[in-house]
Amino acid sequence: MIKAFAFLLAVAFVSPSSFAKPEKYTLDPAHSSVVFKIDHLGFSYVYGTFEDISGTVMIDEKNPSKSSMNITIKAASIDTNVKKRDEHLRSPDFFNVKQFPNITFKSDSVRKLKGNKYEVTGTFSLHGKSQKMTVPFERHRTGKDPWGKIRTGGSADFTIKRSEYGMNYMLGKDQVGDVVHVFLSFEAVKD
Amino acid sequence: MIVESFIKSSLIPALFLSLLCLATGPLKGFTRDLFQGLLFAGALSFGIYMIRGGMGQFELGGMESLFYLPPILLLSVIFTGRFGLGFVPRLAVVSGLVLVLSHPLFPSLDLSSFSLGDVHLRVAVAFILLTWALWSMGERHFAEEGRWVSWTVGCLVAWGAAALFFLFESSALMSQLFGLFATVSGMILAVSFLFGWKVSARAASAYLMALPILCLAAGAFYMEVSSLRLVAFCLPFLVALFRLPVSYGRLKVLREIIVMGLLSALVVGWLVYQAYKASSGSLY
Repeated sequence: MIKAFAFLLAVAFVSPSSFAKPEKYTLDPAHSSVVFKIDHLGFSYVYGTFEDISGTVMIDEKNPSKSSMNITIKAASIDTNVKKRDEHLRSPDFFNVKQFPNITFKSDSVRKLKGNKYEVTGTFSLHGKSQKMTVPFERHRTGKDPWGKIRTGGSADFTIKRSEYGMNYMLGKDQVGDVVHVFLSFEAVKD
Repeated sequence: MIVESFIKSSLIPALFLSLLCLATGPLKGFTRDLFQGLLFAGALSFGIYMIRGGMGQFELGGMESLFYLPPILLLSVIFTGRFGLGFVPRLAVVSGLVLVLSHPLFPSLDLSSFSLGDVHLRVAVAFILLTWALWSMGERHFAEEGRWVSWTVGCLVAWGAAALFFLFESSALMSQLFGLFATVSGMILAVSFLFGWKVSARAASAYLMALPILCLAAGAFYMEVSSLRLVAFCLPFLVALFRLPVSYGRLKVLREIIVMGLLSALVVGWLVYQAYKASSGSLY
């Protein structure tokens, strides 16, 4: 009886889920991407990425509402495959990266939906302006990676209106679009 | 679109400003400084408002402060005109404005080890001294018989070249801003050529020289452009300074405009050409 009790106690101590404490994961920049597309004069979409992304994700497997995420993107790392256009996007006409170097998303609440779907509500800050927004989020696999570390992943597709963040240059009919489609995909490694 | 924007943000304010300067030209002393200071502040604020497409964003510090530079400069025009304050208050105004402009960059400075080695600090000090010096010189030379020609031509060429430079350096906002300054300078020059100089030296030096140099400082702070290249756009004023010892007697205004214009254009044209060569053309 005492042996069984001691065994149960030992299991309780070593089981990570027994504490129901959020676990910290750090974003792996090499396997994380932020891709966006925006309407160009009504003719087509221009695609771009941000190369420099970092952040942390706190995951509570038992109680997902206690999970959180904090992501920072360096605005100067924008890349649309045209050097001249990237310089223009970094200038005060658009991102004004010297004055507003970071684009951030800080979650306030996480709600689990069906299956691996979640809804993350938080504050998105861009160009010196912050807005509350809710992002549909899909959780991917969690498990051991080839290097023996615990790794998780997720993705989100959402849209923002750049005018809501004071980025008004070339805004209007048949100019550069207002709505920006954002595709975020990340992997994070458990600390 | 570009032509329409140019007409609304540059041509209309410049035209109204020059005609109203002509109308208020016969006024004397402080009254003329006050009225023309108001006209300059109004026209340039309107032009900047049109360039930014409305004042959606208005914060203390950074690029947004370009919005309220004209009204602040109006205060300094009034104070210097009314109380005869000059050199030191101008330095205080310029230092304050450069601090406001560069304020958002402070976190990137290591203020605990405050030294002149910090790039932003050096750039700030350089632009404070440049604006202070040229503002003071401009105020003196715009007021002197005949010399207004070389100084106004200097403004036209310097700010026109800066507008082209920023176009190649990928900032439509800065390009339009300097387009506005160049158009105002050109229009003032044209009206003065036809009817004689009727502009307050205090207003002209604050708005045709100090304000654009402060905008150059904003360009240095918020764009990946070497501040030395931006300072070089003030070289036409050095040409105007070298012109000083040469007699202004029997001045032929048109000849002066052509010679000074060509000399100034030669000096800053090289900078614009380099920017053009380095770019793949104007904004894509």
